[in-house]
Amino acid sequence: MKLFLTLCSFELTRYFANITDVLNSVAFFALIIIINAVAAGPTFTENNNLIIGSIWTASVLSCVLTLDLIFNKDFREGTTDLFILCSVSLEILSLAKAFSYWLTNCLSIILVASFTFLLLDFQSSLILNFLVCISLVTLTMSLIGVALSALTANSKGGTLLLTILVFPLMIPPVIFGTRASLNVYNGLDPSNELLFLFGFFMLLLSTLPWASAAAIKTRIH
Amino acid sequence: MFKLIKNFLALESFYFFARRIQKPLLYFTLVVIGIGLYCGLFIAPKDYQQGDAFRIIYVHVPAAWLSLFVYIYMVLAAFTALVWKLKIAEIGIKSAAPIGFCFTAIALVTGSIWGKPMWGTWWVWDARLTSELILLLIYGGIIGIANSSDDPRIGSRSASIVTLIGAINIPIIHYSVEWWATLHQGPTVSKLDNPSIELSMLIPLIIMTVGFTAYFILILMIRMQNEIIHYERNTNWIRKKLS
Repeated sequence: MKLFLTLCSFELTRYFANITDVLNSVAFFALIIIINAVAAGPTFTENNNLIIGSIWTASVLSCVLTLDLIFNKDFREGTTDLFILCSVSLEILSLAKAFSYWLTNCLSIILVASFTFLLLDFQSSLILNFLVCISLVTLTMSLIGVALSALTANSKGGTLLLTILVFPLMIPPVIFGTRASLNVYNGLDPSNELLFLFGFFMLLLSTLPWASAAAIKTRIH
Repeated sequence: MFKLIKNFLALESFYFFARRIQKPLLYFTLVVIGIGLYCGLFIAPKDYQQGDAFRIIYVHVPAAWLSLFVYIYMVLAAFTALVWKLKIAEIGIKSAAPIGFCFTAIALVTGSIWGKPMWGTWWVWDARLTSELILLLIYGGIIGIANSSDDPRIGSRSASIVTLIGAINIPIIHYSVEWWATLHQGPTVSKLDNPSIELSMLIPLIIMTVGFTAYFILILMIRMQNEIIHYERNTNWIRKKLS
């Protein structure tokens, strides 16, 4: 646990040193919403299903596109090599990486996304539900992302390959997350979807750290 | 016994084994697919609703079956490659991914050719179509990552990790997408005790499936030979063989 916290604070320091990366992804989020609004025309604000869908799309997209930040720099500088030399547990390292990535990039996007819902006059129950759902979805995504970005860091194909690998695995949580938001919007009970998201997150939390550790070991001899 | 298996799975002996079974396998595949096509196209009766158009099933269903079968094979190979660090399993996974990709693409294309006259559209956002498309993307990712490194061993090992992560996900993707939307006809073959397909239509289908599977093994053997040569290009036996 102590190791986890130390690694987290180390990672967070590094993210705050490069705060522009985080801000870039927030700007990217805003751009996707704007492009959706422009492409859908003046009816955009009347069609609430479309708004909910595009906010979900924008949040997931902008979280996925920065996943290569997790390992790219580490591999280049040799930080991970040092961790391996000091025999730091790679499972805990990957958990710390996932958590601190979520705490910086994903959380800022989540806050901006909820603020967008607020601006567009959605009811507060929907926003609360969205906060819980998108948190679970992005936590799941950062777990997957750590494993896959370790595999694609500094390789041919790079970021695009990472995106292609992550998106198919993200489809179930996105289906259930958007369904939960739509249910709340239509006055239905979203608890089944929430239970699914939580279960999926737990499943990946219990399996993926080992996959990430294997991935790091594969890429570094 | 263990040593025997180990010797068999060594790259050199596997290469010669694959070379030896290549020809018989080719004849077997040609004969079985020939019989299956003949039975399917000429002997099987017309469907009472779809007429002759239903005969595309004899390509569509075997391809769809193989798209899943290849993935199951790849999961087993990935597990072997990661746990026992067998080179032959790494080669197996790297050579199988493009074949699986092709079969998935064939299943999607024949499916949409079949869907146009029957459903009136090339594509619907239906559960099975969508999960097949996602499977296609996963195959694409695996191919990409297998070729992402200059060292072929690192590439194949990364591909095996991705395959295993995908294996956790694929059943979940399948069921969540099914719950999301479905229009596809229900399974007609897998209900073995009481299949809802006429026996004279079913038998050619089974023959074709066997033929397609044999074809997969044939292509896999050929691709694995190439990959073995690439892996072992600096060893003596390959030099002797090529010189």
